[in-house]
Amino acid sequence: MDSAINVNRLSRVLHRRGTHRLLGNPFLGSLTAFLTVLILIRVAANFSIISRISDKSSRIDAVQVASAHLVFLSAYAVWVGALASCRISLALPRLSFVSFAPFGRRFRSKFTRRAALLRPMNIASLSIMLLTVIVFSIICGCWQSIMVRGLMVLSLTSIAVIFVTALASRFVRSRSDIQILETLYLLLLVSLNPDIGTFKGLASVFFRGNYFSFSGVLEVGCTVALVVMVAVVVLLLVRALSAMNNLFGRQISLSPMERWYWRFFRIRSWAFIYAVVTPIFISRNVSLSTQRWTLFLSIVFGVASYLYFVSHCENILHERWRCSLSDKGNIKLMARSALVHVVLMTIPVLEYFFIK
Amino acid sequence: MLSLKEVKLSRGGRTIIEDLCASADRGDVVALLGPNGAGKTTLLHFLAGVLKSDSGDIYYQGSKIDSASLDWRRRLAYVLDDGGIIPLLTVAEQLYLQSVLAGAGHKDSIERSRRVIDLLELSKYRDYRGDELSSGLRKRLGIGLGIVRDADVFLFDEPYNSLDSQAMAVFSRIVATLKSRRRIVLVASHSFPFPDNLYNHVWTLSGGVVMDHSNERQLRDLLNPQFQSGDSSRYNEFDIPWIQQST
Repeated sequence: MDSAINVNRLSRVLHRRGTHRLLGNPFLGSLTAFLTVLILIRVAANFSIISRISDKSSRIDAVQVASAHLVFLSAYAVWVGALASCRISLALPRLSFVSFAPFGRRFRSKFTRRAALLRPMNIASLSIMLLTVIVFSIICGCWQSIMVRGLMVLSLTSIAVIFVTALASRFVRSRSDIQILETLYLLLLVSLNPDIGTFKGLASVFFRGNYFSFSGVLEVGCTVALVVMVAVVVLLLVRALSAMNNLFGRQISLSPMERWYWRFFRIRSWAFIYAVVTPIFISRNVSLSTQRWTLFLSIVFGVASYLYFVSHCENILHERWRCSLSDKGNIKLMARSALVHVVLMTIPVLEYFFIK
Repeated sequence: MLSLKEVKLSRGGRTIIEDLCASADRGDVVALLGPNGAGKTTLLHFLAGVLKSDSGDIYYQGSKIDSASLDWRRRLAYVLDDGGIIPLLTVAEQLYLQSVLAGAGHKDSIERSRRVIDLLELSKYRDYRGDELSSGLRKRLGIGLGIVRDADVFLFDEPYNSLDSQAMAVFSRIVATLKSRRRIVLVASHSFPFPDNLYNHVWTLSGGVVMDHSNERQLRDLLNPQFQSGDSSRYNEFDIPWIQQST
């Protein structure tokens, strides 16, 4: 029996089982469906108004309108992505190690990763971006600018989806919790009420009657997109190395303490830190004192996190094996992981002094 | 010789063991027998230096031992009830790390890990992380972690729990090997599945009192009615080169 095929088949079954909206509380399910329809009607009405105005050759701030809708719909996509992923994850039994052991190792984590990363992004965000770009390129022909913003919003959305999913998977324990979160979030989106109005003679979008230009976030957003792209490339490289390693049956020479370090911190923790600090260092809109504080906090985080790792190892070794890293001759085992940590910690410092 | 003299142990204000006097010589395999809650793990904790005694001491080769000292910790291998595994490391990595922490070199540690993996039939699981192992495999790995290093005294807490019959037989062969290399082995369990004379001492724990039995008839009565004398040789010893014959 081919376990890979079974994992895929089982994954599809669990997706279907997990995503059905009415599997939980029927009233909340109906309410969230109704709120979703309201949001879609609001957006469709806005597009219709813009299209009618453009026919009458009125002046439209097309980039602002497109950005506003991208942000609004991507915020919706965060819900679609994160909460749907959580719902799918809940379709897995808790003791999946026992239940799914025949279907391959670490099925639960593979499945959750797939649910979190693939499903929301390809369906919701990409289609929203393409739709908006198509609509506004037909109306105004300003697709390049919208495309750039779309990519930016897409990156931010993907980060948000990962973040919200990680957070929710820790705290959300039942389908009804997810439905309550869904309802509250959708109510918030409906209350934002994106409406078309006039600002400085140009037709623009207003949220609860307030105007947002959406130009200030462009720089930060593009940087975030760049960092995300670099992180993806690094992850792909790591994956390629690991595949080559498996292919040629060679082990990359890492000591157990280094492997422990990488499994404890994960490369994505560092990618997250860089994604947070890099835009702050690069942006001209952020004050020098904020940048200094960010640098200080990143150093504090670096030192504290390594100390936390050392104390974690020390506690486990003492409790389980009656050994200590501080015993004679053992301290050198930490040297390589400490070096790796220092190198990774240095990157924000270098960014502060050289890129800034 | 390992001796315990007038040891009193308590936990949470309750006396668990009172006035314990017992001893084991090199090459002795001690079965620590008692019902749940009798204090078997408490006694092993005390020997391993995890727990302090209210009174009494451990003597090894005539000298009083500080159970928390590095020297004693290096002379002792303690396998916890749950195997004492590290969740984030693979089977091979844990064995290697344990060996390195015990002072073996890089190449020696790789060789030891490979040998222990073969011995305990863990080859299929060598790249599984600790948190991915079933309880039986954890127990097997725990035994491996105990013997991947050399020690004078080996403590095993409930080693038979969760093991299949094949793994139990492997464990008995390991104990037989340690016995022939003149190590002191303490095995705590509430039941001993094999009718053999692998064990030449039984310490029974009941109501806070420990009794040391060593004559054949007592052993037969306590361990197993089918106990047969003189058949420990049926266990083929393993070749564990880093655990040499002790003088």
